[in-house]
Amino acid sequence: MEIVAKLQKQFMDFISALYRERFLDDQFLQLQKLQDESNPDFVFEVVSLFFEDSEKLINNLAAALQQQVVDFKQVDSHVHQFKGSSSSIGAQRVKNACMAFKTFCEEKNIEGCVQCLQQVKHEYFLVKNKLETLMRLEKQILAAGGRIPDLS
Amino acid sequence: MLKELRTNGSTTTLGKPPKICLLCMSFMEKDDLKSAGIVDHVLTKPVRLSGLITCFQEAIGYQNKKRVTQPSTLGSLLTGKHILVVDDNNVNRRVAEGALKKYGAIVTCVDSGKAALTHLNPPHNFDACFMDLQMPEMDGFEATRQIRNLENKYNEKVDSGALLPGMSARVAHWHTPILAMTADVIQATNEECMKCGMDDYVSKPFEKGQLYSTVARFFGSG
Repeated sequence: MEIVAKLQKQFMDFISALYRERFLDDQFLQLQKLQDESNPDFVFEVVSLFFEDSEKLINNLAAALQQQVVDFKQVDSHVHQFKGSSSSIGAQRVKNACMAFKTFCEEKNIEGCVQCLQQVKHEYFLVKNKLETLMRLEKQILAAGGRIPDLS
Repeated sequence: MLKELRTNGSTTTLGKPPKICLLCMSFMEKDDLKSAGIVDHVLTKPVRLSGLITCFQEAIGYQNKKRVTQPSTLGSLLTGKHILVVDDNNVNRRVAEGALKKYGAIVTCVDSGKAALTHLNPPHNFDACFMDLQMPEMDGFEATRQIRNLENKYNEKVDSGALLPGMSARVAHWHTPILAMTADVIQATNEECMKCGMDDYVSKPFEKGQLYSTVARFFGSG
């Protein structure tokens, strides 16, 4: 039982920091609330989808910005997707980076877009790392027979 | 002041003391006041519709045993309802589906306006549709326009007697509630949204209070 308590405290400290540092916002908390006995892997599933989607989008964005003649409509469409999925999962910093990106798209500013892509990538890989750690902690708690602490 | 009201034993015309519901800022005050028996319920600010509803329900003695897993208000509106979710983004689809299923809805997800048309061509089993606005090939506006077109044609056939509603349909007059899902509220309240036949909009991702008040318009309250 001591192990479980220790892991649970680790989990609470870690996730509280994620909220404090704005890696995650209230939407992630809402996702955790949707997870229950009838849907025990919901958060893991959504997070996995987010990772898959995001990496495709980053590749598509890089390719689109490397074209001789940049199709800003196409770029905007990818950024819109990215903004949407990061918003749905509660990845606040990624979402904010996408919002800045959108503005540069609308202005057809290539340098601005390239910089924003770097920023979005940076934020994405940071939150990906954090989420992977979080999922790992959850698995450890469950494996040790404990329950995931309720943050609300 | 509250203590005085309680001890004076003021009563309503029904002979029962009125319930007192207090607005306060912090969670800490909440428990002290409630346990001291001075107030019946506490609402923390900012007041949310869902919190207000719960407060009134508790006050009139409404018991909901399933509260831990399923909020009673949205649950009673959505349980058993067939909902179509249309969004080209699979993360958004999964999240919308998860939220609606939590409240007991039976959810089908599709990833395009074209697919939405196939599913909402009368007759069908859907009680409502949540439609993303910005999609490639056929956006939410166009999909809705075409769905209303299909419904009008079907209704004309029924009205002219060419089709008997009882034979292949649940209702004689088709109008499936279509709600826009949008992160951009300005786009949704735009005239075009209503002009193409949408009934209302909800923000994306869902906000519980807004989802409740929007859905309540179409499915009644409980």
